[in-house]
Amino acid sequence: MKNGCFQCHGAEAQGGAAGPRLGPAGVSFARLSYVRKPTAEMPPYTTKVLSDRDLADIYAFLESLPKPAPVSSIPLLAP
Amino acid sequence: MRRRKFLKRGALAGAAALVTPGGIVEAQSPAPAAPAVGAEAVSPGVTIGAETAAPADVQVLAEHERCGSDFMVDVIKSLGFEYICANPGSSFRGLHESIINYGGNTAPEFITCCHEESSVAMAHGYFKAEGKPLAVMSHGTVGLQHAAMALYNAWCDRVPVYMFIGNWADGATRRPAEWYHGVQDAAAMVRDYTKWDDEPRSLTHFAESAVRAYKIALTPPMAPVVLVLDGALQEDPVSASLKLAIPRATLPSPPVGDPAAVDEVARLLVAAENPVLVADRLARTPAGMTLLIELAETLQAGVIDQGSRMNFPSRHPLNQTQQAGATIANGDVILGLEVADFWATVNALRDQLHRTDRRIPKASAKLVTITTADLYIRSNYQDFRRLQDVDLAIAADAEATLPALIEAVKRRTTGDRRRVFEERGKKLADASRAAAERARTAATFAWDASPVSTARLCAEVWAQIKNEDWSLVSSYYSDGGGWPRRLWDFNKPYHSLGHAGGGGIGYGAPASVGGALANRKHGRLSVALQTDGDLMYANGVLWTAAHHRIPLLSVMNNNRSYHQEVMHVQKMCNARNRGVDRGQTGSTLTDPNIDFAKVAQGLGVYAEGPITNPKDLGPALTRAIAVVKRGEPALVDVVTQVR
Ligand code: HEC
Repeated sequence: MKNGCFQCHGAEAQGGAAGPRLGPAGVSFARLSYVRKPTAEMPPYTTKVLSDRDLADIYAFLESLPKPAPVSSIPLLAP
Repeated sequence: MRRRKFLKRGALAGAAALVTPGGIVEAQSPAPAAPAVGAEAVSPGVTIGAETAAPADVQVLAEHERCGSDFMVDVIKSLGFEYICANPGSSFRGLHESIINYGGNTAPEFITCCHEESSVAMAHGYFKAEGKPLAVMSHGTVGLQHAAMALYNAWCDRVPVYMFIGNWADGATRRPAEWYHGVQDAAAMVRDYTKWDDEPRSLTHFAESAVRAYKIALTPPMAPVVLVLDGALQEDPVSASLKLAIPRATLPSPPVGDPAAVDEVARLLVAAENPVLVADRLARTPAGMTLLIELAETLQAGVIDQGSRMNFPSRHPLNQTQQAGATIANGDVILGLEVADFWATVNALRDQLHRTDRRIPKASAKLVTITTADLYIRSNYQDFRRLQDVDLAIAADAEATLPALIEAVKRRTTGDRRRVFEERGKKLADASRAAAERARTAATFAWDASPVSTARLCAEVWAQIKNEDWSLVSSYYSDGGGWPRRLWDFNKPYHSLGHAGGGGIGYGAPASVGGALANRKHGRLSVALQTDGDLMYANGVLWTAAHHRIPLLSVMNNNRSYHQEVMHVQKMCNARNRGVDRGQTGSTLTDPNIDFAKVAQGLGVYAEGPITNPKDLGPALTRAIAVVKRGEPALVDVVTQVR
C-alpha cells in the first residue's frame, strides 16, 4: 500500500472513512483497474504515476493478506 | 450630560493615576464623597482640582463605596453561570477580583485557562452537555484575537458562548505597560460570527445589556454574544447606597412553525411511502431526542442522525444513518430538521478536477425543511453552500415544532396507513440490523494490526465504558469514520456532544474538557477520542483539567499526521498527475514522533503510551479509568492506523 492507497483504504486495506475495504480477497484483479478511471470520489492513478507492474504488486499484496478471524470469535465485537 | 461626565472623569482619573506617588503611606484618607444622584457610573469626586492636587496616598474603597465590578458580579450571579473561564488579563482585573473575593469564587468559579481559544471551546463543549452557557473573559485585543476561531466554531454550531472582554476605552486612563493596547470597537473583529455585542456605558446599561445578551444568546438560533467591559466601569468606585436594578432574564419561547404549514408537512409524511427524517442540530434539549423517537415511531419512518447533536439512539431499529445514501435515494418525502447543509443531504458532490454533482432522491421526492437557519444569516463569514430547492420551508425551531407535528401526524393517520407504517417499520428494522452486522464484520479486518485500527480502538473503549454512565464529550475528527456510532449504544442525550461546527481544529481537546466539567457533577464518565493534530493546538487545557480536577478519559487516535490533509493533497497529486509518493509532505507529525504521554504527564495528567500493540490497550484503559473515577483526567496515547 506504499503507493498512497493506504491513505484512504488503510495500511491493511481494511477500509475506512475515505475508502472501502480492498482486501483480503476484496477485489478481483480486473476490478483493480478501477484506479485508472474511477467513477466517483477516488482520485485517478494513470500509468505515469502507477505502472501496471505496481498495480500487480498491489494485487499480490491484497491477496497475501490473512483472512480476519470470524466475528463470533472476537468477544469485544459481540452485539 | 452623563456621557460628558463619564469622559471627563476618565481623563482626569488617568492623569491622577499618573501623578500618584508610589510607596506605602500610613494614613488612610477617605475617598471623596460620591456625587449626588443618578449617574452611577460617574466615579466620585474627581474634579479638575484633582489634576493638580495629588489624591489621597492610600487609596482603598471607603465604607460607603463599592466598585462597579462587584455589581457586575451580582448581575452575573443572577444569570446562574456556574463557571467563568479565562486566561487572566489586566483589562478585566477588576472583574476577576470581584469574582474571586466579592463573589466568593463560586457560581461562577474562576477556571484558569492557558489560551483564550481553550476558554471559548470549553464553554462550547460545556453548553452541549449542560444546556447552559459558560461565561468567558478575555482581553479586548489579544485575548479576543486568540478566542476568535473558537467563537466561529460556536457560531457555526449555534452554541451560545457568553463572552466578556476587557478594554480601557479612554486612552488617557490606560496604564503604560499592561493596556496601552486599547481598541475603539473591540467586538468588531468577531461581529460577523457573533449574534450580538454591546459596550455598556454605565452599570445600569451593563445590567440591561448583560440580561439582554443572555436572552439573545439563548433564543434559537443560538449564538455567542460579547460584552465589552470598560476598565473604568469595572474599577471605579460608586456609592454603595446606589440602588441598581437587575432585570429578570425571562427567556423567550423559541419560534414554533406556522400551524397550517406544519399540518401540510404532516399530510405529506402520512401519505408518503418512504418518508425520511434527517436530524442535525435538532435536539437542543434532552426533549429533542424523545420527540424525534415519537415522530419516527408514529410514522415508522427511517431516521438519519447527522450527529451535530444527540438526536436519535444509534441502535434504534428505525435508525438508518449507516445507509444514509440509499435511504435518501429511496425517500419520497425528506424532512430536514435543523439540517445545516441540506443541499449536501440530497446531493452528492464529485470532488475531482472538474466538480460535478447530482441529486440523490428521485425528482418527484418532496423536500421539506424546518430550521431556524431561515431566520438568521450573516453575509461575510458563511456556513452554507448551494441553495437547495425545497417544496416547503418552515422558518422555526424544529424541536419546538415537533409536538405540533406529531399531533398532526397522529390526527391524520388512519388504520390503513398504520398497517402500511408497520410493514415499513419491519423492513427498516431489518436494514438497521444488517448494517450493525456489517459494521461488526468490518471491524474484524485489521483487528490485530499495529498501529491499532480505529475500529479496534473504539471496540476496546466501548468494552470498558458500556456498563458506566458514560458521555462521549468529543470525537472530533477522531472516530475513524463513525466507529463509535457503528459499535456503541448511544441512547442518552449526553452520550454524544457533536462536533466543532465550523471545522476549526483545536476544538476537540478543550471542548472535551468543557463537556467533562459539566458532566462532573452528574457523576458521568467523560470520554474523548482525541486526535494528535487537534491536541497540538493548545494542549495547556490538559493542565486546566488537572488543576481543576476535571475527570476525563482522553484516548488518543494518534495517526501521527493531519491525515485529512494528506488525503486532500494526494487528490491534488493525482489530479495533476504528479506522482504518488510525496503527498504526505507537510502534513505528517513524525520525525520526531510526539510523545503525548510525556506531554500530558508534564501538564500534571496521568498518562500511558504510546501504545502500538492492540493487546496492550485494554489494560491501559482499565488503569486510566481508575484514575478518572478518582476525579482526575487521564490520557492514553494510542498510535493508530491512518484511517
Ligand atoms: C483519496 C482517497 C483514495 C486513495 C488515495 C485511493 N483510493 Fe481507492 N477508493 C477511494 C474511494 C472513496 C473509493 C470508493 C469509490 C469512489 O468513490 O470512487 C475507492 C475505490 C477503490 C476501488 C474499487 C473498490 C470496489 O470494491 O469497487 C479500488 C479497486 C481502489 N479504490 C483501489 C485503490 C488503489 C490500488 C489505490 C492506490 C494506488 C487507491 N485506491 C487509492 C479512495 C481512495
